Amino acid sequence: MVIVFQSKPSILANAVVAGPLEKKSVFYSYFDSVVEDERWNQKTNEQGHSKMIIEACEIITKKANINNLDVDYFLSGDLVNQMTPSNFAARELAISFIGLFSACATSVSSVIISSLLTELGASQYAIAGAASQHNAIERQFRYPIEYGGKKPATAQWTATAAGYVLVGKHNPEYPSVVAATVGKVVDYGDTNPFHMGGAMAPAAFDTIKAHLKKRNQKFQDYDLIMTGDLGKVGLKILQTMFAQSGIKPEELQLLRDAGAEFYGEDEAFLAGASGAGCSAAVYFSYIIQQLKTGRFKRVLLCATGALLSPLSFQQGESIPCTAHAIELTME
Amino acid sequence: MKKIVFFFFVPLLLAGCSGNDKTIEVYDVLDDAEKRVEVREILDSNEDIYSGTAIFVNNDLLVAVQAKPWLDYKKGKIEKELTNQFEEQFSQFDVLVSADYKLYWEANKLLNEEDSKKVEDQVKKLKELEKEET
Amino acid sequence: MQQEQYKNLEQQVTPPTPYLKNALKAFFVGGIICTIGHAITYFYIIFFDFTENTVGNPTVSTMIFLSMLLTGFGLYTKLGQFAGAGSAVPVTGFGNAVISAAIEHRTEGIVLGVGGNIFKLAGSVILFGVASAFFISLIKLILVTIGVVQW
Repeated sequence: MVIVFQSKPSILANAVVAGPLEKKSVFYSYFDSVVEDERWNQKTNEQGHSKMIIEACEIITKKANINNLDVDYFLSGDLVNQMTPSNFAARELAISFIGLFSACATSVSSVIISSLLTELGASQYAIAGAASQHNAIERQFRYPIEYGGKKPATAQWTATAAGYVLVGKHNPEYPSVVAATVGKVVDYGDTNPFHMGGAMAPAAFDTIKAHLKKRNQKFQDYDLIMTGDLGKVGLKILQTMFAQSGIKPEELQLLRDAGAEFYGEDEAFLAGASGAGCSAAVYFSYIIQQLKTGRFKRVLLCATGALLSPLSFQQGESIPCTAHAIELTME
Repeated sequence: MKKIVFFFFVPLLLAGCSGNDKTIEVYDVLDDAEKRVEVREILDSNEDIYSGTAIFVNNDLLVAVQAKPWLDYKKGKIEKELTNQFEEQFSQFDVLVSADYKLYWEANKLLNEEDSKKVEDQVKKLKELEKEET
Repeated sequence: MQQEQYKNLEQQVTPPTPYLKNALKAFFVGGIICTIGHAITYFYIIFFDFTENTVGNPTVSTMIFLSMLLTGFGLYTKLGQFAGAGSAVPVTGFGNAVISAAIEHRTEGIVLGVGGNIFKLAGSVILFGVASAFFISLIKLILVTIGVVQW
């Protein structure tokens, strides 16, 4: 389902906060703040997760020179059960809050909703974004952190990062959201939770194709099409899918993936980064900055999410996936 | 990779092939030559062991043997067979045959012990240890 | 695109699992761990009053203690990523499974967190270990009773 925003809501401020390991990220220099302690000096990983979200929002209000009372909506999501880190952050921030869950695609789905609210005139300022904290997420979906199990080369590393943006009325000096696609849930029957890229690639394919078709665009109309956290293997699968559907190799160069690039070529992270914070951190730092400097004029950000729970895959269910896309432009 | 594998395996293979001679030691306070020969005969006739030490002290006879590599699983059988043979031959002694490394190690240490009282105590202690299950 | 077609494509693009390499790594690391275990066995036999029958308990405790240190310092995950089954199958892997779960759930308290979750991963090993031991001894009992083998 493609939405075209007539009023072109703008992204007025952006903030990314990341954990200590994210210093190894190739996007490190674009982050606003990096904390030395994974738990943000809190007692538990989940509290640290919450604190990370609060910090990102504080940076945003500071950058935009507003305070929490000026912000009408806070849209956030994460991967912890019932999204408690976001809920608890919203408690501290005292902003009207809608919790969103699109797994790792929440970074984009929150921007879509806040753009709609802005377009409606219901919102002057809305903070949107997503976060993930490695320890809190891994324990939820996989084994304990210190468990010495071997992960295959297709496994990804949940990034510790929170990326948030302030969405407001159109302002030509800032990047604007011109269109968005809310993705369908696609399931090709993958069941391997250590190969999320493979499960999510068809969802990204579906959403990007739908967006381009409805908007009557081609790959070349964009300076960059970036998926969320397919990882190195998932990105290759997606490229192969597009190649088979007749996209030329030079056009495929425009297709990049935040997760695959996040940690560079470091093999310790296997196929790359994942998590709601991964796409949010790259989109809301590097991409926004590149748009602002004018290096990119038009980008398509397509965040992918695997909609599984530990329970569902133990019960033998396959992994349904979704992908949401936003089209950003800079005038 | 292949070179490394070779490097590790060749010495192992070579080491495994050498040493067909049995080392048999007998400690006897009375130094009875006849006993020595008898012990040697029994141990020599057993194909599954590569080494054995027998200690005679007072009424006790302790025989500690070591099973050949890969034949560890036969330990129980070896002990049973040798116990029967030794009990037949040395019916006046209280015989204990063991394939346990602990007993073998301690028995070999006793070979150079001069004081027969110490040997006697140690053999008693080892026999106790052998009965221990936990 | 059909599900079948996609499965094929996915399989072609996904790098194959290097089974032989993994098996070799597991063999050597597992072998090294077991060699260390054996060295500890000899240490206890030679310097303490343990026989081959009784030396198992102190050896296992020592190995689990070492595994606990490695787990606590975050080194066992690295070893596990390299060695796979080589570090998971020996008793150190069992220790790692128990200890990592305990560390993980420390934040939920001692009783409900650590107590309730410590055997989260290792519990099934214990359950099926005990169950299979029962059936094996049952089989042996039957064989002994009908006179095929002896105890």
